[in-house]
Amino acid sequence: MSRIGALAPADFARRLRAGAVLAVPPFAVRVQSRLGALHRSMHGLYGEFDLLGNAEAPDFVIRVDGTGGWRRLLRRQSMAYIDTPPPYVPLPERMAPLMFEQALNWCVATRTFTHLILHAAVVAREGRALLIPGQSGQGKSTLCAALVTRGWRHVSDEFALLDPRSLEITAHPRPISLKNQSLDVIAGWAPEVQLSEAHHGTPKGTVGYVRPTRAAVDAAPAPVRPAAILFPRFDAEGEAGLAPFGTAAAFIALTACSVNYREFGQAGFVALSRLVGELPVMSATYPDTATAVGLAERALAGTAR
Amino acid sequence: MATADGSIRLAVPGALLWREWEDGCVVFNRATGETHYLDLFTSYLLRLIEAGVDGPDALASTACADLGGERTPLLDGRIARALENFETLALVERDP
Repeated sequence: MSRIGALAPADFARRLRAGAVLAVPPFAVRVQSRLGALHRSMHGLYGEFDLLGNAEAPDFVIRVDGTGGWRRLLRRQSMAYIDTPPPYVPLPERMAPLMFEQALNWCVATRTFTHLILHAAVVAREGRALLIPGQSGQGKSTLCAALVTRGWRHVSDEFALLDPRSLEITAHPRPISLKNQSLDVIAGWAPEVQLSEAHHGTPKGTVGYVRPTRAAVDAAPAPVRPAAILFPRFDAEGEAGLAPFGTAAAFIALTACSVNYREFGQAGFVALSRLVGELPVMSATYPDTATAVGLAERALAGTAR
Repeated sequence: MATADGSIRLAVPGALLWREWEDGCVVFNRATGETHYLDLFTSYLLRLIEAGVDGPDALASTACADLGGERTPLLDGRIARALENFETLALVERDP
């Protein structure tokens, strides 16, 4: 096992061309690519992650390469190949890092059968986790990045992997995806943060990533127990504050945020009803990052109930 | 479709798993794997059917007795709509 950041870029690129198994907790992901854009990006963004031996059985296999045929003469593109036709369109080759993240998201969402998966960021402090559910664009990643740069543990940015029996969350730290204005917000909030290059002109606008820290990767084997649920809402004009969130409404919102709730049947129903029944559930309305961080700290303390 | 004089019962007795909170109720139907959000009055009606209250007339009479008030066309209309929804969602069925 070797840390990716400790490898020379050329050595890492050689391994990716041949196919290498990365530990992206809790998963082992075999990645293969001939694209320099992906080699460079992953060497930076996944620098604190480990390469496993190639004998390690991967949970997912992802190959990101150029598209073939005559189109490559007009436009060099990247495509992720899993073992079934991928459900997304090619992106320009320079956006290969996005293609990889998209493919890994798809693998996690569709091929994880042990955990109830929620679209949610998860951060923790002193062993207590704050679950921040939300669909893409609702501000969960921005809040996650803001909290992580203030010392909170980065448990997950995109998916909360919830054990339906114990209600513990298995950590899945990945590069935190930021879009459009959020990139400037976080760069201004935490100038020391390691941001990737910005990818302009993606289907979601400009996208960049925050590099996970070694501390987040090292802590990944330890699950966390959620202590509160916070639904974020950025509103530049609204009144800032925490408000109690109805329990039934929270249940419905969490089912909408789950990618595999139906597959779990009764176990999923019981797990989510326990979660919203046992934890303080709040919404946070905020006009800026500093306010959002303060509200998150109050939410974790459970001050709204 | 439920009618004013039809006999109504749960589609699968014992199939419903309930969670009730101040702002509403959710019910999991073990028979279909579906989860339904119900407001307080609608969940009250489904509870009555689960308890064996049979048919729109009996539901209306019981609701008036439990909740107070007169039986009105508005109440009958709410019950009829709820029964239609229950039937669409495969929560209840009419006796053939």
